[in-house]
Amino acid sequence: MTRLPLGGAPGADGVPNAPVHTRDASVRGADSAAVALVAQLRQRLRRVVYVRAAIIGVATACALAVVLLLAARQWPGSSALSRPVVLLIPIAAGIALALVQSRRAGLVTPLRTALWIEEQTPAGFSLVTLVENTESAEHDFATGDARRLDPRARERLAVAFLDAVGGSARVEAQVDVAARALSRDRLRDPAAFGAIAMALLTWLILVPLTPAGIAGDSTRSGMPPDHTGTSAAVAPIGAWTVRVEPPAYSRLPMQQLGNADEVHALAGSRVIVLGAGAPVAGSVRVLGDASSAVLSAGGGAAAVDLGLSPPTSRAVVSVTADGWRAPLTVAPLPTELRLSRGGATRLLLVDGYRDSIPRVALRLPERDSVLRSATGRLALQATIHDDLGLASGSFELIVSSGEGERFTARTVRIATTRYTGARDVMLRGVLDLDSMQLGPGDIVHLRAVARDANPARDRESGVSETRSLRVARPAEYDSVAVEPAPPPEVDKSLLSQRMLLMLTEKLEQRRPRLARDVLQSESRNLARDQARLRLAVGDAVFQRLSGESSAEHAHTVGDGHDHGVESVGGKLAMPGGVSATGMLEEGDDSPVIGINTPLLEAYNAMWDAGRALELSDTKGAIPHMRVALAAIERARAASRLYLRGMPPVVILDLDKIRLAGKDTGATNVRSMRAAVLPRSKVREARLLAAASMARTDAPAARDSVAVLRVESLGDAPGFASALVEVIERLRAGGDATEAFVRARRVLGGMSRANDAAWSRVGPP
Amino acid sequence: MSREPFVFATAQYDSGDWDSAPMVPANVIDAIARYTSIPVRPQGVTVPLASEVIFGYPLLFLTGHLPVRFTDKEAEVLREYLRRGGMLFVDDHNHDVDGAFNKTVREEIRRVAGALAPLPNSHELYRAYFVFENGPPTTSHEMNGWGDNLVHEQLDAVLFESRIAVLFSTKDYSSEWSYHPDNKRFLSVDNTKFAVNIVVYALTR
Amino acid sequence: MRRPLETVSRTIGVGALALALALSLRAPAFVAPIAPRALSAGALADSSGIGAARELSRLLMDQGQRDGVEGDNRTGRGDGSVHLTAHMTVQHVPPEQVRATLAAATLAGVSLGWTDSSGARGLVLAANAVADPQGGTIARARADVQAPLVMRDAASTLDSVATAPRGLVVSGARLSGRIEASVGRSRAEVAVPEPALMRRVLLFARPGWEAKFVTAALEERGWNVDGRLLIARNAFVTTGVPLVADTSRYAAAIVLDSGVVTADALSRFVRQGGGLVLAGDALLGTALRALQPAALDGQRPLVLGALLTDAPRRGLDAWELRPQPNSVVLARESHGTHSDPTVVVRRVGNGRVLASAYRESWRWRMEGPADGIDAHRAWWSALVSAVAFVPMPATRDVKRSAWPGDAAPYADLVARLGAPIALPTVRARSEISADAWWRATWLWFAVAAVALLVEWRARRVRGAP
Repeated sequence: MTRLPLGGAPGADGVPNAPVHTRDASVRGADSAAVALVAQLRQRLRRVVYVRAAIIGVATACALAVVLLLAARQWPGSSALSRPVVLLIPIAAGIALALVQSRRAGLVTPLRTALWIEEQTPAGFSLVTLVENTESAEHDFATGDARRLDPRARERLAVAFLDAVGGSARVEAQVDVAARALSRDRLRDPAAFGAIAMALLTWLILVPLTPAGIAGDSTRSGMPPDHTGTSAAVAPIGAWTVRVEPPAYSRLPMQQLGNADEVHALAGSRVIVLGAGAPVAGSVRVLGDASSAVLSAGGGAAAVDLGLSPPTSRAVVSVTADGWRAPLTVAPLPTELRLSRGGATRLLLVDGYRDSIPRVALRLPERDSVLRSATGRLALQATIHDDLGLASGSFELIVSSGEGERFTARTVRIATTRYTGARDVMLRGVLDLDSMQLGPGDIVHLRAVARDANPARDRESGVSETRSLRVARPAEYDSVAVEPAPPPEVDKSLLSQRMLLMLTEKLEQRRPRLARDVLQSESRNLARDQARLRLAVGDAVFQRLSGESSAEHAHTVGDGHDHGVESVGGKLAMPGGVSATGMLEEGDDSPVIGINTPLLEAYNAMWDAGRALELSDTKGAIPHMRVALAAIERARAASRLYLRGMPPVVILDLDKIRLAGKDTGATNVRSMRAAVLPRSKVREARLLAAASMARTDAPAARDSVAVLRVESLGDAPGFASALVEVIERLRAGGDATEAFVRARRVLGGMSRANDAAWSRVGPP
Repeated sequence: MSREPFVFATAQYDSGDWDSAPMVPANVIDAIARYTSIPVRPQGVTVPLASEVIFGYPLLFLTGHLPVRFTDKEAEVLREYLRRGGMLFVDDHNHDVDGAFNKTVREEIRRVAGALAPLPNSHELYRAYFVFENGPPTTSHEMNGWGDNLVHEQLDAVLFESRIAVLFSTKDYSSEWSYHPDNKRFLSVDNTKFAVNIVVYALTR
Repeated sequence: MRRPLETVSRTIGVGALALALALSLRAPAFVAPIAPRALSAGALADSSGIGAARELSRLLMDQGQRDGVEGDNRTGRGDGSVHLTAHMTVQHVPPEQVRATLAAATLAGVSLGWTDSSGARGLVLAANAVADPQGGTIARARADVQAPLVMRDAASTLDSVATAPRGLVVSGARLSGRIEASVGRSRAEVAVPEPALMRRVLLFARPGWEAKFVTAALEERGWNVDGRLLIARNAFVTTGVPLVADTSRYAAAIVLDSGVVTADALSRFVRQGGGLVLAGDALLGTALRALQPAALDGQRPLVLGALLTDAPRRGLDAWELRPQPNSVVLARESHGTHSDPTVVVRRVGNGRVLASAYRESWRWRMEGPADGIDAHRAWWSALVSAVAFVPMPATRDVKRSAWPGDAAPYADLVARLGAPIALPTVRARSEISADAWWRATWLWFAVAAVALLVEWRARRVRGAP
């Protein structure tokens, strides 16, 4: 142990601390007071150095952390700016700098302290001399040089010092003031620097906790980066709660789905994901339609781009009192909400569906009609159904008038009815033909229209089929070429024929239980009814062929007139016929044949049916009756073909006009069609990628398959259901190979053969 | 030599006057024979829109004056026809954008194929054979102030993967081309040449 | 007591030394030059081949040392090289690197015999890229045993068949990683090939729905089509940039109408290696008759309404084809008890020619079932793929082409090492005894050393010098 010549325990730096113990009582007093003053001041100055070093260290660490954090945000994917780097480098640098700075405390020696005191209170270097000798004694203690200075001389020096500065109390006061000034001077700049750095750092740490900060952090790529911008470690994202708020117009209740991974929601709904703990980073992606993927036009084989991805948008995540909240407005497409925290990512798949437009069916009038006069009232009736709720329904009428090249049209809505959410309604109305002021040739196009409560501006209305009501022109009934349609006689016989058919079918069912005579009686009754209908149809045919009504000039078979119809064994036959395809071709057939051929067929089938019924052969009659019914329906359809009469027939002699034109066209380049990549190919590639991933990263593979499943729900439900098994296997942590194989088989795309005669792929 | 000639088909729909331009088919056929070596059947056919028969005629002409309301079956068949690669050429015989045909058929087309959009006059349709620098040729009905008294600068179309699926004209070619082909000799300029472009486009694109 | 112990110890030590000396002098007599050295199963199992190489080199050094001791008398070779005869028993067909190592050893002069106890049988697997813009692979496997054949890739099983007397072909699939086929203990493996290098298609046709929809089908599938449709005299509608048929630009030419082609140019194109598809009315002309793989026997009547059935092509107009003797029928139509060929191919020069009987295939797309569009595309793409010229990739791996490799591992082993031989049991036993004797020599030295140490220690205790 080093011992001071002036006695007392030495300080850590070898300077005697007060109280000073001396071996010589004569050196007490002024000497010890001066030395104590120096020692105290020296300690004080050393503290200033240490504090300054600490401030500089902290300030440097904060400043470096600020720089690294900013860099980490600029390059979020950089591994060089990972969390340990951002944490450790500033701390290490701060400590290192603080240590370097603290080494300057060693420069605060007693001699420099004494010099500084004399600088503040000049005393002819008596104190310096005293301390120098003390220091010399200290340093030369081993050699015994300290004993060279006479204690009395030291006392004198001390006394001289105290005299020069005006006493011990005064010098202490002066030194104290000077030391305070020095401390302020030395600590002010580092403290300011440190405060600024700490403020910046605090701001950077706190700012990401706001929603905007998080959102901004997650928009750089489709896959949101983990929320590692802060130095604080956060827990991985865990369970959440999903709430679905359907749009108000739907009147559907709010749903709480718990910790769901998939949501089936109406488009326009708000899906809100709520979670606890630190906020999450998130992104929203509308899952793409794979059919839009195309091959590049000139790329050839390797140009299949499976990486097409719809744009990703940011998820708005806000902080709540007990965690975070991520709302999402549901689009009418599968959507993926990806939320990340603490290195973990979870997906919420939202399967958005549209509400359907109302389904409208017009019940009355049942069919198109031709009116002789536009008078009276017509009952209208339509059934309307909507999946969520109706807002309104009405009948829409377009009345067109005119002929040739001059037509006018007006649109009228009647029986407009408001609904408040009803799903199934019967819309009724009455069309007052008198008030419509319809003229000959006018056509009323009538349909029912309904809107649901969806407030979208471009929302489509549901519409029924259109019925047309035509007001006949008087001249129509005087013309051979223009046919009235449909003739009332045929309409009546249509209904009667159907009734007759039903009655015959019932009789056939009852036949085993009936007595022979009862059966014969009922069957003959039916045969008589059938004969009446047959004659009615025959009248219609003759009316058409002669252009005269049967009332004015009744025609019958064998009446001697040339109808263009021959009677062969009770049946009617007509020369010529329609084309085998049933399609009317211009110039081939007359309208008369076009209409009457099915009626003749009906007539003859009725004749066969009547004969069978006369013989009580109900089973044999039914096929003929069906033929007759079908023929009458065809006649109804055919009668509408020539409402406006036959166009003139133009026969072109192509050989004569071939390339006779004076002008010649130019050689032109046809644009190419874009390649269409089948969805199955894209899905196959994605399924394979997921299958490969399943071995190394099962959760990621599960997410991929889940996304694929949601995308396939619409057009490939079989494949989607096969993927359910894959997801379940992956979730359970088991081997999903078999499930992948099944999904792959459902997807198809492979052909298999047992022969390899040709070295290439053959046609499928 | 290919056995199968081109057949011009007119769509017959349940509502309206589908046969309002009976001379158009003959005139179009005449133009095809007059200016090209494309094999063509001398007479057109009329095919019901509600029947799958239309699938055998990948170019279909539809016109009329009256309101058009497709039945469910007609809409279903037409939708499938267009998806498979058919092309529907619709002409407004009223030449009236406020006319019943125009308004209703646009609505029906939107329901079946999507909304109509103006077809640029630089489209390859106008260069498919004859070159029409200024887009669709003007009709005499436009010049004479019939219908809406407008000269329509463009045709409208619905494109499927950049090919024309539905071509819609308010220029009233139904009236313009509805005359006997023999009368072409009285015209200084044959006004049916644009029909050749439509047919060549349909046959090659 | 100590003295007898010293005596016994000394005796044992000297005896053991003598015995060890005698054994060491006799040891080479156990390793006759004709006796093969055995390669261990562990060395063969090391897929890197390093294990086998180390063991072979050890055997070679070992052999070399002994040859050096004994001179040329025992090896019978005067050129100073080392001759090694080795044998191995193959429990599993060794991996490719090991096979390559063993083959290198045989090329270096090692006589390497092997006995097959693997139970593996002949199995061959091949995979080629399908000549289709949408890619895909055609993988074929064939085995000569009546056992289930399984084919799989890295993702999952592709297909399996109970027996494969005519092989198993899986085509069109997009495969991942490597393709593997296995039958029993035989296993073959090949890498999924790179996509084929695709060239354009040249179309010869007149304007019409068939030309339009064939072009559309091919373009929608991803093919680039060149063609020129004659609209009028000197007026065409061109697709792409049609040039002279040449394999530098075109993979195949499609002719839909025989009246628009030049036979000489097409014949030259095919003999270069190009593909030619003659469809429908293209089979009518006489110009291309020399190239046709089938002759016409008349017209096959279409079945009305068949376009909407499961066999829609029966609803198309078609020719009846009579295949030429050297042709292959790729597709048939069944009609009750018999079937008619509808797609026939043959090789002409370096190229391939295909005849398709169907005349108006566009009706399949327009009038067929709902999936008619996709089916029509796939059909036409397959027709072109079946004959398309596909240039070989510039980076062909010539090193592997000399051997079957993993595509047929068993055959590869036979090709590299020769046929397996019966197990040489006697030689193997002599090897083992020789090793044992060598170990015994060192044991006797140890015994001698211990005995002499005991003797020396006993003498020290006794105080004797």
